[in-house]
Amino acid sequence: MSLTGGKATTWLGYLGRRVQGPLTPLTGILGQIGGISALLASGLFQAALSPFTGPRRLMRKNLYPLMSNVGARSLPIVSMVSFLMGAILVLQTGEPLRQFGQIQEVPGAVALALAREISPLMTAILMTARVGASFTAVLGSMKINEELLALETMGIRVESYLVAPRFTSMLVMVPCLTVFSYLLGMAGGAMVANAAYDIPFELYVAKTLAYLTMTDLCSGLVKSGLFSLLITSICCYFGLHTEGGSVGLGRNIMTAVVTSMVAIIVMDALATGWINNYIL
Amino acid sequence: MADRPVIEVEDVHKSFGDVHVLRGISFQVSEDQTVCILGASGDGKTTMLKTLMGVLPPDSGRVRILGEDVYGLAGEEREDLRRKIGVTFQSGALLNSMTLAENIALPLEYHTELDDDTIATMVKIKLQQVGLLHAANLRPNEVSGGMKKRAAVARAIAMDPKILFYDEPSAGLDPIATASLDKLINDLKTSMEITSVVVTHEMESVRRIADRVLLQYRGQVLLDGTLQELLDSPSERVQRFVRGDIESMAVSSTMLKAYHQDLLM
Repeated sequence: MSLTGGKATTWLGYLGRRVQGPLTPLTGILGQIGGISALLASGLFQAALSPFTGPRRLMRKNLYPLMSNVGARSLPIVSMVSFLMGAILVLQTGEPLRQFGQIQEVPGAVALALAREISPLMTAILMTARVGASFTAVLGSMKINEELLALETMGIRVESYLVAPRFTSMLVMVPCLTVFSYLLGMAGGAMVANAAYDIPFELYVAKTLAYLTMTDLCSGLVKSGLFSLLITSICCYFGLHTEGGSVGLGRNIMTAVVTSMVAIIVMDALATGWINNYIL
Repeated sequence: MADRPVIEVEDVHKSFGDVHVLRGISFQVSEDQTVCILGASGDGKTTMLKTLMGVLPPDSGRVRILGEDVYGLAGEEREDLRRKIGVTFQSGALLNSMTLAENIALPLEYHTELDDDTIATMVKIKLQQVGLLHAANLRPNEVSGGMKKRAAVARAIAMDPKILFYDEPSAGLDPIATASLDKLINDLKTSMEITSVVVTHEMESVRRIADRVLLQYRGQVLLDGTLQELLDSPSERVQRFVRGDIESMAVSSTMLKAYHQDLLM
């Protein structure tokens, strides 16, 4: 007598395959979300441990070039985009407010928009394209060239050696860049407000300071911290899970960038709702 | 203690989907031996090696290295065991963003608290051992294939391992570079008393380095013995491999039949 049940097993197997087929994409996405969450947890854990345990010298060696790449080398593009965003915001809000005789309210509107939304969001999107894509590319090419396998066989943990310094550099540098983005955005706004609507610089600064609260600034910084965690975990995950040679690498870079941007917008919506309901 | 097994493989099976790559492989490797795993492409040699390295768990069976169950360990114990094992990959798998010296220093910097000067001295010694002292500051893309493999060996011996695994060390090398690498494998065995497992299909290399030979055929061990036993084996399959017969073991009659059926469908 067959212990496996013969025909019954075949029938159950058929039913299982019929049910499993349409669910395969869903299980794939759930698996990716689980993998990204696990990488986020282990990467953050290793990043928190690294100053106290393990190869501190190696972490420092790894961390400084990453900090420089994420921070200093991103500064020109973040500055340019933020300056122009400030200028565009003044132009877009200036005309309607002038029609209502409220042109003096332009600095406040621009300051709030930049601090709460535009600066954290634009910085995160630029970081995804500039740094997140490079994380996926570097880790993906290391996977293809068996470098990750070589590290594993040497007893070197990829989470502590490669992922943790990326989390640290992003968590430190993205909020710093967001602060630069505020300042450059406000500078761009002030220059255009002066040129287009004759608002003096002193008045622009005074109005900005009158409207802006520490809560506005902090809510933007909290968002930028959350965005940096999303970018790092998603881009590192797709890099570490690269399959299929250079074509697979290209596909994973694209997937990482698109997924990060969607995740940033979703997180922004959730964080804004939460901050508006419970903080402001 | 020459006969103490440092590697024990018991009835290891491994499948990828429907393809049963390893079909009950068992063997032992004694201390200070150099064992060559031979076989045609696709017969599961690299799968076997990855299973030994601890990066590809078998579906069933057991792998013990230095008395420890490789897949029964976790965390720090597993990393401790890995520090006693060196691996050189077919491609070298050096980190391309680093110089050869930095590649060799990496495991020392990660696993030890040695100061920078001591590590630099140790790196020089390892580079000298593999004859690459002059190339310390070159990156992997600036050196030849043979030099990459030597640098990979230097990195693999950085932590003074007890066991070294080599995956196709002579693949893609000219005969002189191959002979030179084989001499290096023999020198390391003598000077560092290293137990080596070498996956290869180069008979010339086997003649130079092997204490024992394992011939793998369709995921099973077809022959386990000395080089002389391999050469004298009455088995037609073994002799075909030794002679490099064009009717090689990889293209079996079953595979040809499946190919013909596929064409006719």
